[in-house]
This record gives sequence, structure tokens and C-alpha cells, in this order.
Amino acid sequence: MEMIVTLKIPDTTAITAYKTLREMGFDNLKTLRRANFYHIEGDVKEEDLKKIDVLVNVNKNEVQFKLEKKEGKHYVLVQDKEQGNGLLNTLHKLGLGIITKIEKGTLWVLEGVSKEEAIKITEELLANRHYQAYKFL
Amino acid sequence: MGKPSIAVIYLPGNNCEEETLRAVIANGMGGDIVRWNQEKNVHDYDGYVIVGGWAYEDRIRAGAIAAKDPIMHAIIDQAKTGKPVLGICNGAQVLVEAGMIPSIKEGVKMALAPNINPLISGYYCTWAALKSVQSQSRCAFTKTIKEGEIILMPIAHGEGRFMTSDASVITELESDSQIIFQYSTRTGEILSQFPTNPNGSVENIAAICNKQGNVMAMMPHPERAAFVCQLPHTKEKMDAAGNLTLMQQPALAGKLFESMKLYIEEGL
Repeated sequence: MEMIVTLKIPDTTAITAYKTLREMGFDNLKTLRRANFYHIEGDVKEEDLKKIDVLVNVNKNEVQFKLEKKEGKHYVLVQDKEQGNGLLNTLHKLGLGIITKIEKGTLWVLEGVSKEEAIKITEELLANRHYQAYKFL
Repeated sequence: MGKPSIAVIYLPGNNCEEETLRAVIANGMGGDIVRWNQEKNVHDYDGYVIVGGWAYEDRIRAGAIAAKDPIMHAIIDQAKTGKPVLGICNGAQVLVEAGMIPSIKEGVKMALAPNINPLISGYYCTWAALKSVQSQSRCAFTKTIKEGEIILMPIAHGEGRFMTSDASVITELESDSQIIFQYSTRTGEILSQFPTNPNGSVENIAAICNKQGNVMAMMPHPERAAFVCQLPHTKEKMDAAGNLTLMQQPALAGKLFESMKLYIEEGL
């Protein structure tokens, strides 16, 4: 299953990225949002995932389990090619052995730019393609 | 020519500027901490050090935002004239993300990726042995460091693994002698396994220079090993125990700054 975790407080990383992109000349970029994106495997319920505080801080985050895409926006998932076992090991140490696999990425949502511009934005700032991969959802 | 004057570049979130300036001054140069948003004319300086820390909080990834900071345009221009630019730790990440390493003209050809470490995921700090693997004349920061010399410096990073998805980059680094320091044992063996290679860097790379030899990106911290009092329990430190004067003497890592001074005065 997929879990999308967004900030309900101001996202300073997205704000900084937006300002940097505007200074780089991407004047059409209207909004830039960011979420932590998790792909999770295991016999675990959505309600239980929301309670895992290394993944979700209820004071700061909102959680969705389905990506609802809107017209005019590009959804770009950036992930490290090598995920490692750090996060899974942490969850197991917390007693969550029922989670058998977890992969993390950053989901960027771009509004106001064409697909070609969204690709350029991703390749020039949002991802380092030497160790990260990206795909449009 | 008077003393060379170095701009120690401080980006928001860096934290190594004071000790870097101290190491610059202790090795015969003058300098200023130059904030990213100062009006001061960056072009007036003879060389630049981009220091360690967490510039822009490592937002997006380490060095990504800092590489786009307007002050980097000025530093890139000055590097093209041959002035020396040293990037330490976060500074190295900035140089890689700005495309200045491995070469100024060719875009982003590498990454400083998350460490691969069997003990710990994420941030890791330890003392590392660096072996100089090029001749003294290859790089602005090794003019006083003999090939084969081993220098202890601390590392403290979570994203210090030099890597590239383009194998031809490594071939070119090797053929152009751009790999300046490699992680080694204290006796000089370059072993690819942990702990000799503390972060999984390809070819045990600890520092890379650009083709011209005036820009270098290094993950270890020479400013944290530039004086005897900063060293771990080595013979040099033990011999200086109880003697404040000896403790304040320059240590081997200070030679990077000494070399920078010589490069400014004499060239390569």
C-alpha cells in the first residue's frame, strides 16, 4: 500500500525549493508542494500505520492512502535508488515486524508548468540522477 | 604581494566558519568570513573555502539549494580564473551539486550520496586516514603534501559517499589524476571495506580536484585536525601533552591551507 504524508504546517523545504526555482527562471511555476511517500508491504492496517510516530507526527502531518490527482498538476516521485534497511530496521525495533518492506520517496506536486518544464525542474533541482530515480505518477 | 586573503564562505546553516578561518590564518594567510548575502566584493579575494555544516538545512538534499545561491555564481567565475576553491564536507556537497567537481564546465556528473555503512544508517563520525595519491604539483591544496603521505582527519557526515552513475567519469578521474586523497589504513593500505572506507565511496575517494587542479571537494575536515591539540591519541599528541605551545602547533592537515597559500603565490 502507499501512504502519503504531508505537512499541515508550512513546508519550509517546499517553500525554499519554490523560491529557488523561481530564481532559476521557472517563472511559470505557480505552486510546489511536497510529501513523504511510502510504499509499504505487510499485514498492517491503514489505521495502525497512522499511529507510527516515526512516519507520522499527528501534530504536523496529514495522511492519505490514495493519491488523488488533479488536472493541471504534475506528480513527480523522487526516490533513492538504494533504499537500504535503516527505516525497516527501525520499525522492527519498535515491534513492527509485520511490516516486511518499506520504501521511501519524496512526492513533488508542481502546478503551472508544462511536462517538459516539470522534467527540467526535476533534473536541475529536485533529483540528483546519479543516486536518485524519478517517475511521473 | 601581501598575504593572500581568503573568503571563508558562510551559507545559512553552516557551522565550521570560525575554525576554518583560524586554520587559514594559522597557515600564513588573511581572510574574512563572508556571508552569502553580504555586499562585500567577493571578487577581491585570492581564494575561497566553502565550509561544512548544513547549508539551507540540506533542504531537498545536501548542497542542492546552496549550489544555486547567487554567491556561487561569483565563486564559479573566480574559479575559472584559476583562483583556489576548497569545499569541505557540506562545501564539497555544494561543489558537486554546482557541477564544479569533477569539472567546471560539464554539469552535475557525480553525487555525494547517503553513506553505506554496516554499523549505522545515516550520520557517522570517526577519525579517518587519508592517503595523498597524486604528486604535489597536481592540486592547489597538496603543494606541501608528498605523494603517499597519510594525514588523519575527522569525518562527520551522513551523505559523504562519492559516486556516479556514469562509469566513464571514474575512468576520467583516474586518467586525469583527479582523485587526490583516498581513505586508507594508518599504514597506507587502500582497503575498500569498512572501516577503512567509512562511507562506501567509489575508489575510496575522500577528495577530488577539478581538471585544472584549483578546485577541490573533500568530505573530511582539515580545519578540525589543523592543530596538534585537535588530534586523537597519536604520538604527536602524546609528545605534546602538558605543553601548551606544542599543543598549539600546526598539525599535518594544516598543510592543505599552507599549500593553498603557496599556490596563490606561485601557481601549480
